[in-house]
Order: sequence, then C-alpha cells, then structure tokens
Amino acid sequence: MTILGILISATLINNIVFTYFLGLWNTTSKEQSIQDVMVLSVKVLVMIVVSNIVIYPLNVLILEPLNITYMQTLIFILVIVGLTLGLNTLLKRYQKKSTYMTSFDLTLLLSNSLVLGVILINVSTPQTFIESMVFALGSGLGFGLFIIAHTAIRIRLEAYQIPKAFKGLPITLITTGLMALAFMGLSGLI
Amino acid sequence: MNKRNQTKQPSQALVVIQGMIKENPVFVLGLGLVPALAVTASFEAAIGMGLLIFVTLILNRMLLKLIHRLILEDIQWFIYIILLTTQVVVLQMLIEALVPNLFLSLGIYIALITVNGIVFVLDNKHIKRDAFKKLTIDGMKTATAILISLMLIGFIREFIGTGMIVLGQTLPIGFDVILFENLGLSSYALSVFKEPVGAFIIVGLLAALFSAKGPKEVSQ
Repeated sequence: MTILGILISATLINNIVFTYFLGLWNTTSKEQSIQDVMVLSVKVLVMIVVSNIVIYPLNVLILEPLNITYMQTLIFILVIVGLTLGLNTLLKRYQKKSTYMTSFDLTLLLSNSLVLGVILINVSTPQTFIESMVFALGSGLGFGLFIIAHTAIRIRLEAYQIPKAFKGLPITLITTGLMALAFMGLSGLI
Repeated sequence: MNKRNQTKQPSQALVVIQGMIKENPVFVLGLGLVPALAVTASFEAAIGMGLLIFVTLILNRMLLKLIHRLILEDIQWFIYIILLTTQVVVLQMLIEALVPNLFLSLGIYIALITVNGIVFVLDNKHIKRDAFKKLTIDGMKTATAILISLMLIGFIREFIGTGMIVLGQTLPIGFDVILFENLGLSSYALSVFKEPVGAFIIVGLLAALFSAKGPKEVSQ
C-alpha cells in the first residue's frame, strides 16, 4: 500500500476508534467543548507520533535482535510514561500563558489506550519506519476527527430531550455506533 | 407497633447484585470499554477476556496491599503501573503458551489490559484504609461484574450475529459444541452485530437498560 493509502486507511477507512475501539475513554469522561477536544486531539497526535519515533528504532534495533520481544509491553509503557513526563516538563518551561495548553495528563493518556494500542499495532505489522510513522499520524488524525465530530454531535444532542435511561454513556455509545456505520460507507475508497 | 415499623433488611447477596447493577463497571461507570467492545464478537473470547481481567484485578489489588508500605508515596503511581504491566506481561506469556487459540483471538487486547487496568487501580487512601480481605472481596465483586458484563455482551452479539453460540474453539473446555444450531436461526442472523457498529449499539442499549434498572432501591 502506498504512503497516501496508509494515511487514508488509518484516518478514514480503518479509523482507530471504529476498527480497534481505542481512545474511547475520553468520550465518556467529563464534558468538553470543541476547543478542548481540539487541544486534546493535538496532544494525543503529538504523543503518538513522538512515541513511535522513539519506539520503532528501539524495537527494531534492540528488542527484536536480542529476541526479547516479550518485554515489549513493559518497555513501551516505560517509554510512554517517560515521554509524557518529558513533554510535560518541556511544555511547562516553554509555553506562554494560555487557557488551552496546560499539561499532558498522564492518567488521560495512559487510560486512553490509544497511544499504546497504536504502538502495538505498529510493531505487530512488518513495515518500514516511514510506514509506521504514517500509520501513527493517520491514527492520531483519525482519533481527532472522531472526537471533534463526536463532541459536535454531543453539544447538539444537549438541546434535545433524551430519555433518562439513555443520558450519558448509552447515548454516547449509540452515537459512536452510528458514526461507525457512516464510516463503514468509506470502505471502498481505496 | 415497633415490629410493624421495622423495615426488612435486604440480604447480603441482594445488596451485592444490586451493586453490580447500579455501579456496573462496564455499563454504568464506563470502565473497560475497550475489551467490552473489541473482543466480544465471540462469546468464548469474551469469557476468556473476562477471566483474564478477573485474575489481573484481584492479583493486582492483593499485591498493592502487600507492598504499598514499602514504597515512597511520590513514586507509588509509577510502581503501580510497573506492577500491573509486569502482571499483564506474565499473563500474556502464560496464555500464549497454554491457550494459544485464546491468545490469537484476543491479540493486542491482552496487553491493553494494562492501560484499561490503570483505571482500576485504587486511590492510595483505599489501599491504606481497607483491610486485605475487604480489598480482595471488593476486587472480586468488581471483577465478577466485569466478567458477567463481558459474557452478556458476547452472548448477545454472537447469538444475534450468527444465530448460534460456538463453544470449544477458543477455550480449552475439552469438547466442541454449537448451541442453538438446530433452531435454524443462522439464516435470520444480523451479521452487523459482529461488526464494530453492532458492538457500540449493543453495549449502548445494555448501558441504557442498566441505567434504567439501576437507581431503584431493593423493595422490602
């Protein structure tokens, strides 16, 4: 598959949320505005891309040659935690006063399962560095697309009288399911 | 007169069941949605994942209670993450060796118990305050609720999606059986429920059902 094909596949056709069910926790957590989720999606995109930049060579040059791939999960978690703390420190040092960019929430990123999930999918598929980076980029973009659309739908749904039993998590999941149905229609794109 | 005014206390079992419905980790609290959606296309895979989460959660709570006094408070969260990840890695290797069909069926979602399990890690105050027995029993209640939830989702998805339930293909139960095959429902099956769409819809409807049933108190 070409680079563009991988990008379109990761973003639209095999969207990371609708195909692998990763990154769902944020949709059920506290209510956020469109601007908040845009910032969140940028944070997650940066986190995924930076993690892949570090982990791909680590896996290919150290773990696989030494035949210690059973340590992958532990090492990847350590790298993700380290990178999150590092990026957090960097952000605090260089950011100007802003109401949006605050910090990389470790709990958010880890509970998200998106970052680790994308990394695990990447290492389980034999591909080059560029292909893995494009997949990571596409996954981040796909997640951003999903969460922004989902938040926009949620804001509009607040104007309607949803039955009491469906408020919160149920309507969130059903909305996500209908979005997944819509994205299924893109399956013949490439 | 006093006897008329005395209310009948619900039994312990009823309280536990009520808790599993009102505070169900999957359908009400929204924890563990990734395994609930991803691996429940098959009833057996759902049981397998539920059992893995059951073992991980209880072992994790027991270990945390045993070691929490040995760790500095500042780095406790980090040690908890390492502990949980190591548990999951060991479990993954055991499953790969002992139940390879389940390992292939669950794929990356075994490792993702780590990042879903993090939300199961208790606050430090719970670990300090609660006794070992209480912590373990609470963990068993939560883990049982998750197991039952995953089994329910898996059963509904596979039954509606294929018209039958296949047992013995993934889990080493010693026999192969296909339930409900003779009913001839496979021609009426809605395969969309085996797809991600169906997962979201089924779990959403079950969450609504649990939310509707949840708030009522046990009748006297």
